[in-house]
Amino acid sequence: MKKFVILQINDKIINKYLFYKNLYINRRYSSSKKIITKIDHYQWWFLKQKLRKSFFILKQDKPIFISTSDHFTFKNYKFIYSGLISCLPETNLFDLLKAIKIQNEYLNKQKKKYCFISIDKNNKVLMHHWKYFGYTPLYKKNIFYKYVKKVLNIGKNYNVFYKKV
Amino acid sequence: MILFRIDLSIKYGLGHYNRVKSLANYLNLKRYKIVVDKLPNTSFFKNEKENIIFLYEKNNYFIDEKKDAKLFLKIIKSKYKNPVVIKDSYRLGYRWEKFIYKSCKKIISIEDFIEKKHFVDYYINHSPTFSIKNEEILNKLKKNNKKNCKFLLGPDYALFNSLINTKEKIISDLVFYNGGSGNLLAYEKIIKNIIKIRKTNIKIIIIVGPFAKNYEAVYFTFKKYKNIKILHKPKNILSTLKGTKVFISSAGVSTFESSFLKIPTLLFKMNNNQNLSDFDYEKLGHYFSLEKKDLNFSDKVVNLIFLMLKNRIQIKRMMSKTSLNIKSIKENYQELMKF
Repeated sequence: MKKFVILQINDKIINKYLFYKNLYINRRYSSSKKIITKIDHYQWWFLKQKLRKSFFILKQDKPIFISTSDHFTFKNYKFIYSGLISCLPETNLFDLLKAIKIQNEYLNKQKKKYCFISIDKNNKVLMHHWKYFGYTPLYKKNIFYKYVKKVLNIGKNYNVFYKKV
Repeated sequence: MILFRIDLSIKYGLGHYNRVKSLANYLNLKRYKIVVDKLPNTSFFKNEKENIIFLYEKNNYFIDEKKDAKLFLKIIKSKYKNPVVIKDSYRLGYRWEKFIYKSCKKIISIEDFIEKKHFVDYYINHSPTFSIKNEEILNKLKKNNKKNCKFLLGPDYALFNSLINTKEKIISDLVFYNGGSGNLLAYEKIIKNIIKIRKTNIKIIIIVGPFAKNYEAVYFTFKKYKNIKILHKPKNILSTLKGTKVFISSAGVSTFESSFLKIPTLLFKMNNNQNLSDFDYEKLGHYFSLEKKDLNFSDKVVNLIFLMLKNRIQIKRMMSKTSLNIKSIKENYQELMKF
C-alpha cells in the first residue's frame, strides 16, 4: 500500500510553489492560463498566501499535490474556497481522488463553515466526482451565489459546488 | 611567492579581485602579487598598489591566451621563480594554464563555469550549485580537468569579504548596489518612485562601485534627495549591509556577503555569470531573485521592495538556517597551504 501523508508548507517553498502553479496541468483548468511571473508571485505571496492554509500531499515522501484553502467571511458566514495544485506534470485518477479525499478530511474538521470548489466545465473527470464528496451545485437562486462568483472571480466556464461542514 | 592573475577592469568588474583578496585573507598571505592587464585608474586600489603588477604597456592589450601566458612567464622567470599561481579570469583557460604549468609549483583556478576546460592542480568553484552532490556535474568537471586535479566546490569554499567593523555600521532602510562596475541608474526609476511614495520617511544608500563609469551622473541624479546617501568606492560594503533592512543588488559576489549577514535581499541577475537557478540562490538563503528585464516593471518592483521591508522578519526567518561559517571555510582552505 502506497503511503500518503500531509506536510504543512512554509515560506521556503515560495519558488517551488510558483513552479508548480505554472505547470501546464494546473494552468489548463485555471481561470488564468498565463504563466505567472516571479515578480507577481512574490507580491501575491506576501499579500495573499498568508491568508491561505496550504499543505503538501506526499506520496511515498514525494509531493504530488498542494491542497489550498482560502478562508474568508461573508456577513456572519465563514467560507472556505479550496483548490488543488498538482506538483507533477501529469497525474492519475487514483492520486487525484486520494488527494481530494485527504483535502476533504481537512475540510470536514472545520466547524460551521461553508466550503466551495469550482470546476472547469471541460474537466470531465472532476465534473463527475463532486457528489461523492458531499458537495451540491451552487445555483443562481442561492444567497451566496453572487457574492461567491464576484469575490472568487469565477468565470462562466466554471461550475461552483459547496457543502456545509 | 603566490601570484594571482585576474581580470580587473570596467568590463570585468571587481568580483575576481574581491575573491582573490578574500582568499589571501583566509590564508593570511603576506607575500603575494596580483597580476592584472593594466593598473586600474582609480584610488580604490591605493593601498594595494605595491602588490599589483600590470602585464600590458600603454598601447598594448590582451590578444589571446598564449600571448598573455608568454608575458606572464616573463614575470615568473625574471622575479618570482617557481610560484604558486592562482588564476581568476574568464578569458584564460586550458591553453594559458598548460603554457605556464611547468614553470609553477602549482596552478589553481577559480571558476564560475562548469563547461570550461582546465589544466590545473586545484579547481575552485564556490557556486551553490555544488551544495548537493551531483555525480553528472562532477563527472563533467573531471572530464574537463587534468588527472589528479582536486576540486574545492560549493559554499564550503565561498570566497567573499567577511571582515566587518561593527563600529562603522551605517543605518538605513534600503541599500542599492550593482556590483563594482554596474550602472546604478538602472535603479533610477525605482528609487525615485520609492521616494515619491515615502518622501522623507525612508533612508536609502546607493553604493557606487570603483569601476562605475557614471558616478557623476548618479550623483547629479540623486543629490537633491536629502534621504539618499551615495557611497562612492567604499573599501568594504559589509558595514553598510549590516545596518540596512533590505538590500537590492545584482547577483554577484555580494550574494555571499548578504547571506553571511542574513540581510533580506532582492537580487537582479544582471550578467551571464549570474544565471544560477532559483534553487541555487535559495541554498544561500536568497529566495527573491528577478531578471534584469524586471527592472522595467518599476511599480511592481517598488511594491515588492515595500512588501519585503514590511515582512523582513519573515524573510530573516527564511534565511535563518543558511550558514556560511567563515571559520570552517578558512579551515577548508588550509589544504592550499600544504605546498
